Amino acid sequence: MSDQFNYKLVTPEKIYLEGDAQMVVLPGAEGDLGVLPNHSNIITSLRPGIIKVTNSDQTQSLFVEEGFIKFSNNELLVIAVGLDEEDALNNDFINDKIENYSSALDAADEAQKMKIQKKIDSLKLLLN
Amino acid sequence: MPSLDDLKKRIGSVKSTQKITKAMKMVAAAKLRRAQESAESSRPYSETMEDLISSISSGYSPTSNERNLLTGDNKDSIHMLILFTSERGLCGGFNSIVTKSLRDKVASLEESGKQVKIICVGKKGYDIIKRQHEEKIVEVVDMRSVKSASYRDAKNIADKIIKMYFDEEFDKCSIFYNKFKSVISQIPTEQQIVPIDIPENESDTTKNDNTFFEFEPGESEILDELLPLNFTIQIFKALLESAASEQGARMSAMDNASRNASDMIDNLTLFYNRSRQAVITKELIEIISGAEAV
Repeated sequence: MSDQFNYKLVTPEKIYLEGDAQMVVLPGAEGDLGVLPNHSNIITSLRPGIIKVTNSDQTQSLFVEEGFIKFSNNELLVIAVGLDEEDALNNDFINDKIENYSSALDAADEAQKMKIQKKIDSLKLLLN
Repeated sequence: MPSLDDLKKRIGSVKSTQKITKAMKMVAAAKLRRAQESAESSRPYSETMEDLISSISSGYSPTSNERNLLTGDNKDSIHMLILFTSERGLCGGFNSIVTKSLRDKVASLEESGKQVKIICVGKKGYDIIKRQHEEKIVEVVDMRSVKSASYRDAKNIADKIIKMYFDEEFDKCSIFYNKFKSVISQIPTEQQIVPIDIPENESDTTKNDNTFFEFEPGESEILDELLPLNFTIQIFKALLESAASEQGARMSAMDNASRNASDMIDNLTLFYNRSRQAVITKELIEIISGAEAV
């Protein structure tokens, strides 16, 4: 059994990152999620947060705004929207996003409001 | 017979036209490379998305009769057609081919008694179909200010259309765009995106049937978020493919135009030289016969 698995992060524009990893930590919609090799098959959505990819003691951190993951046959697919290096992540950047969502909040109906509010809350947690 | 001066002017005007078409060809070639790159690099995303959706939908049957973007709701009376064309002309048959496939579709839908609505992305398609189908056009999306389509542009368009769907303004939705195959070949493509037309792939379905997935949160919550995203991606893909095709079409159209212009210049120059020679010969004959008469 190998101690690595293949992962692929794709954005609408391109394949952002792909390769082998020992562990990937993802901000799942219902809590953070650590994926190790031979994880059970899972499909989940992501909330705004940090993706951490670990391979041989190196860790890469990326900010994701929203997305989905699928893990099957030792292969992790991350379909992301708004993927950025963690370096780009500062308070201004996050505040911009929060503002965007807040303006969408007024126009949204009840069901959507909950979702958008959730996103704003997770973004607020990233502020420092 | 045109005079020598007229011929000279004509050659000059063809030459300057050729200069323009040559320049346009170069510009299109430069833009094509960029557009092609972005179209090709976006393909993995939509492929991954299709993979994900087919994994979910293979085991999913809607529990309620709620309207959703995956299966539709069995109604089939209003069709929404989205046409992707360019903002500018001079690109050969690019716009007319894709518009023709849309017109055929409209005709066949009307024959079977369906109501049709059209959204035009790009001005050229609107110009072509407004004569015949003006009353069916619900929206024209202006892309003139957009240099190269971004995800955000696609999202703006998609959000509007999704809202229309949930306001029950249409039941089925198809997109019409030119798929980029190569510089000289663009394929007019019709794709149904609501309900999603999942390609039946033998090996894929067996693979998916054997895999069981955990869902977090539930299956339907994921679909709720995934389907609008997928819709946006399909629009985005069509925008990029269409942009790349447009540049390809323009490049080959301008290449043809430049070549035609050089043919024309060759012919005209030949004709000009002949006429000039004829004038000289005529004058010589006049002088000689004048001298003989003396």
